[in-house]
Amino acid sequence: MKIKKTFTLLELIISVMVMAMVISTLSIGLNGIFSSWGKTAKLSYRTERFIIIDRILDSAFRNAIPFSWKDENNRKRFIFLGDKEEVLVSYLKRINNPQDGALNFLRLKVENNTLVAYYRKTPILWWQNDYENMTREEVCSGVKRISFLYADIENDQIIWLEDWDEENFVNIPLAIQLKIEFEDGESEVWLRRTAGSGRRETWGLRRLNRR
Amino acid sequence: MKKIFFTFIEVVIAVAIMAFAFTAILAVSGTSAAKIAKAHQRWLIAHRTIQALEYFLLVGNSSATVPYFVFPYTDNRVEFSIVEPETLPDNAETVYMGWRLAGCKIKLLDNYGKELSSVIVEKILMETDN
Repeated sequence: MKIKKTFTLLELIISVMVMAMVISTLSIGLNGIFSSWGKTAKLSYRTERFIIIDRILDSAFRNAIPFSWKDENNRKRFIFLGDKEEVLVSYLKRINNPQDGALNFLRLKVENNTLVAYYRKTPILWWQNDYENMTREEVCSGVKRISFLYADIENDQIIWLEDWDEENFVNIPLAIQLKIEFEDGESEVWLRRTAGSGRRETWGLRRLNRR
Repeated sequence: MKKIFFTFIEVVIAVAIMAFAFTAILAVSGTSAAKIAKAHQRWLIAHRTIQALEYFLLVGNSSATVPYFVFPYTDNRVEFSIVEPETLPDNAETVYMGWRLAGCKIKLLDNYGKELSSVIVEKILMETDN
């Protein structure tokens, strides 16, 4: 006759307890690993994106120049738009191909929680809403909002403006600051001076800015 | 039918291999996390130095204090100073028609006064800038 061996209650309780301990230890460990992995991935992404933002601002803001174009009324207008949440700049760039020219135009704004840069080799006539044929680059996701500040000089003091109305100014700003607020509550700022338009850079000959 | 069981030593070896693999994964993950954190920290120091430097070069005055909205970092502070330029030839005039070449020096410090980075940028300043 075959003897059927069964587990005792004590054996079952002990085995269930051991399994529970093993599972809880594993879950705590794995949770820690996933949490650490998530934070590392986020930090890695953000560092990589910050370096890309550095590259864009170093090339576009630092080399921004007061470039103008005539409108339909033959009036000179700056290819520069300084809003609180959007900027459009003309800037000098390295000539890699003579046909491309030495100028580039950049529009920086937020679309669907993503910081987006639009580039074009020809002037962006913003007063005509001429935003066609632009190269789009998604710079950084998870952006709640961006805001710009524009620096000017008045009575030998630096003043900061939330927007730059080209109707009132004869120059582009001395410097532009970009602030990015992320959806997770973090924020970062970037200040860059524009090219050669400061008082000292122009040997004191910077034109009085207000029209 | 013959039943095959694992011996105790086989189970111990299998558990040891699993523990070793788990530890190795943790070590690699930890090392990469530490490297990424270090890279981010290096970027932060460079970024904050540039942020303060841009403000200093914008204002052109070492007595200026950087406003909070430009430098919103409570764990760092900066010191500005104007030093003699290093690249000016010995026989060159230091001041010309009210203008001079100056070295704009900036130091990024932590809250305990430890220097994290330092940079000098030469720039044309007015003679009266200090």
